Amino acid sequence: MAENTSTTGVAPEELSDNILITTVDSVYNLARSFSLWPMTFGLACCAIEFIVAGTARYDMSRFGMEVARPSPRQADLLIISGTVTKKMVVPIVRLYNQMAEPRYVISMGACATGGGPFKEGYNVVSGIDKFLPVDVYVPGCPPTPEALIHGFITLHKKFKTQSVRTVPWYRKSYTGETPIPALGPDIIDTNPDALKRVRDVNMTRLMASRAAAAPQISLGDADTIVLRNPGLTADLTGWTLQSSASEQTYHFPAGFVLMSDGEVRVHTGPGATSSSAGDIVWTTEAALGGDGEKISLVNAEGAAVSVIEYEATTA
Amino acid sequence: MSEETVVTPLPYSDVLPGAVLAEETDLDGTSLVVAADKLPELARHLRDVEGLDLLSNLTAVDYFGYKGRTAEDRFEVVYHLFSTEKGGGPTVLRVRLPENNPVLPTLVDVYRGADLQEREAYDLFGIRFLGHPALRRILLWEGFHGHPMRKDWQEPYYEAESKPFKSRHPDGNYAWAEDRNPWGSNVQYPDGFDPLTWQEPVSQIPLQSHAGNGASGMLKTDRLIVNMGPQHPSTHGVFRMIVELEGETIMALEPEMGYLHRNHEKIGERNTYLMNMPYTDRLDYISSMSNNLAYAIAVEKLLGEEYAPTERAEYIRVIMAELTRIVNHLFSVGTFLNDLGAFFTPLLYAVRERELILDMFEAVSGSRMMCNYLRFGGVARDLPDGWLEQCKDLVFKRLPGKIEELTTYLTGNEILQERCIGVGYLSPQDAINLSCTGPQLRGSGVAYDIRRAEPYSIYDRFEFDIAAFNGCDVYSRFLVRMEEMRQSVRILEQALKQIPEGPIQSPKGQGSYVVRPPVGTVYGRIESPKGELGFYLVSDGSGNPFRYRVRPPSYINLNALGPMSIGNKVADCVIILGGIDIVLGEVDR
Ligand code: SF4
Repeated sequence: MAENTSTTGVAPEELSDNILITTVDSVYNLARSFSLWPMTFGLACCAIEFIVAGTARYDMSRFGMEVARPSPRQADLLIISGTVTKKMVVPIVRLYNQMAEPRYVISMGACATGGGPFKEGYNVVSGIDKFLPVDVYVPGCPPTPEALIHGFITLHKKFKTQSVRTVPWYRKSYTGETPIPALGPDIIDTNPDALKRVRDVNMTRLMASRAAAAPQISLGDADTIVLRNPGLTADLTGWTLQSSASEQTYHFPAGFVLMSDGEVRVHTGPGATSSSAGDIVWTTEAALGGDGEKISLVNAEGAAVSVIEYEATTA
Repeated sequence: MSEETVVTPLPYSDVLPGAVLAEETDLDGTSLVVAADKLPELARHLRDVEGLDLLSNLTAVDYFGYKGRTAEDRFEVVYHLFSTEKGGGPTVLRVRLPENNPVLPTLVDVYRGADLQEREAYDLFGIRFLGHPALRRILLWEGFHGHPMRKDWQEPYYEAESKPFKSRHPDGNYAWAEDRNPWGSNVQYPDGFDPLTWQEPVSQIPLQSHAGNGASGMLKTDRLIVNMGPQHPSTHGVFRMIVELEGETIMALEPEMGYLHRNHEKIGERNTYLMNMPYTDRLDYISSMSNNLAYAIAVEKLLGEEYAPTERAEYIRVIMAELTRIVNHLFSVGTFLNDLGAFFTPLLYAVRERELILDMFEAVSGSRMMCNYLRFGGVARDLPDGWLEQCKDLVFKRLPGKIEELTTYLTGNEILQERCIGVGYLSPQDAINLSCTGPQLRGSGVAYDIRRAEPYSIYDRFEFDIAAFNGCDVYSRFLVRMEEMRQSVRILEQALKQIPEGPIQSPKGQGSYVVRPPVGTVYGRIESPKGELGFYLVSDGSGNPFRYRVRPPSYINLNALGPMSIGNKVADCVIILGGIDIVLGEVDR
């Protein structure tokens, strides 16, 4: 019996006091949590407290966190220590993408968490969590070094809840890539869904403003009227141009379509010819009488859409 | 009657007729309205003949909707000129520009320091400076929609006409503005913008390029462009340098900033005067008390005599400002040694005393870094019991020894000298011409310190020397900082002995949360640890500033970064930057 025990995997007697039995998860988490390397990366005022947390008085090396790495490829922890601006969020997301899993993000201070005092400014992102997954939020403006260290401890606690079997980064399908926003007229979320949403909303707004706009007429050079359509493409069947003085009416031909943003010139007067294709000749009589009058664009329902009045000229 | 009125000729009408259009009197002195096309000539005359060699502040104001202003004089570009020789107050030039075509000639040829500030005015106001060598956006990016500091540029979230906060509380309920924003995130696109067809503009940072022919001209070599930052351990935050190298030698260097541009000035116009006080903390976040002081001084100038701070408050302010200077220089020396490669150990030493001073700040204001301690007409709270004793202990016993300790370890250190002496040369003439102030200027041997040149607060009562060294290099700037700490201790010793009892707030300033200063403009400035920190305020008589401009010393000192770096090795540009001592909160605002 005694011989058997020594060969079936039970430790030799002299080592039996030195052996602990535990789970892979505990070892994995213990090892990770006390050698977490933050990235040397400061954004704003909060970064000063982050630096100070590393100095003798606060000494974050007690938690195995003092090995700050300037390269994202060697770091496990990204501390967003300050205001995230639109101009800066692009590099930040890129840096995050360069970090190897498992990686963590601490949002330090009011700014990183929700924009802080600068919330809703034109160049400020209201919180980094709109772009990156955040593990721990540390409140304060700035958080004291103690608060930051409390954030580290909270992160260590989070480690303990993770298991090798369930963490996402060992899954085959996992890439961990976060879409990098781009800088355009303002910041652009390059996530395809977001792009589509922006486009849809933009188009709706554009359409709405276009739909409200109607074709307009204005005076062009000698005896010409310019008809412009700032709105949506319109079918002018049944529309008319009416002049008050000479009581002439021009009926737009059936199926006459004026494109959105399109323009058409209407010539009148004795010498009226369509100088370029697409122009309209209304009348060879003086529609634009020299003694001042009113010309209206009237729609199919008989309502005047646009009216121009001009004074008598003494030419 | 009118025949007898003696018409005094406008200033400089004899040398440059027609240059000065009018002379105006404002809350802090007179200013000259200048014809745009004569501006460079007048500036050259002022610089060469009148000795106004320092173009300190250059900014724009958009007078859209201001009483008495029309589209014809909607924009105004304001210049504050000083003389480093004679000291004293500013000569203020104003150029009025119409709404439809705000163009004026650049001053870069006269004052090279106008470079960055003109670019900023272009970026934020859309004012174009003809002849500027590279009029690109500086704080925002190329392709940004609009010029945000214009009054009619609507912020995405504050579309209501009246600010502040009406739009935040519809029917008295708090609502996140971004929940109402159609995009769901903080954005503003121009009409008709289509994200799917949009292409990112390629923005080129122009660097002067020569054909590479080696140092001797014999060898065919290639130029290398290296990008440092915005994430780089030695850029002191989110700052970016684009460096063109020939081997290891810097041939050109272009700074790129704006990564921490958090709309300080726009928010300042939305806030009431007092609400800006905590924001000033976040400008140069290492030395928040100094920022408070500069802002308080500017607003008090605007408010007038009734808000003059009391005796005791003045002393408290000086004590805080000088403690701040020590904090700043300790930190700056510590990080400077980091840049030199002495990673963290010198910083650990330097920061130890900083912590003690921060404790003092925490005791009076409740916060280590963001003190928000000064008020118009005084300070927020009196010193707690025992504070003065503790402070005396620190100032008389601990700090002098500390400074000597750092001197022993660092000043004579051979490696430090080897790396710093002769590096980042900036001649005194260049330093002034590039609008440098603070240790940067005094490190070039120009003994210009606003505490002496145009004394504010009660600095005229104290004995101290201006720290100036004429090595014109990084080492001199380092020495200036060490010496300034000693001088600060000297001032502190006097102030701590003399501080009287009494009220800490002028009666008028007591609990005045909303102040409505009279209509006018002021420029208030102090010698902050980094240089001249100024606030230019335009009041329209309402509760919030019409224009709130910060003259950030470290931003303007960056004018010299390129010129100083050329010809040095690439490793040196890091310590040259460290020698300027920038803080990004202030550079980008
Ligand atoms: S939370 Fe406060 S201290 Fe931190 S970056 Fe923002 S403003 Fe600065």
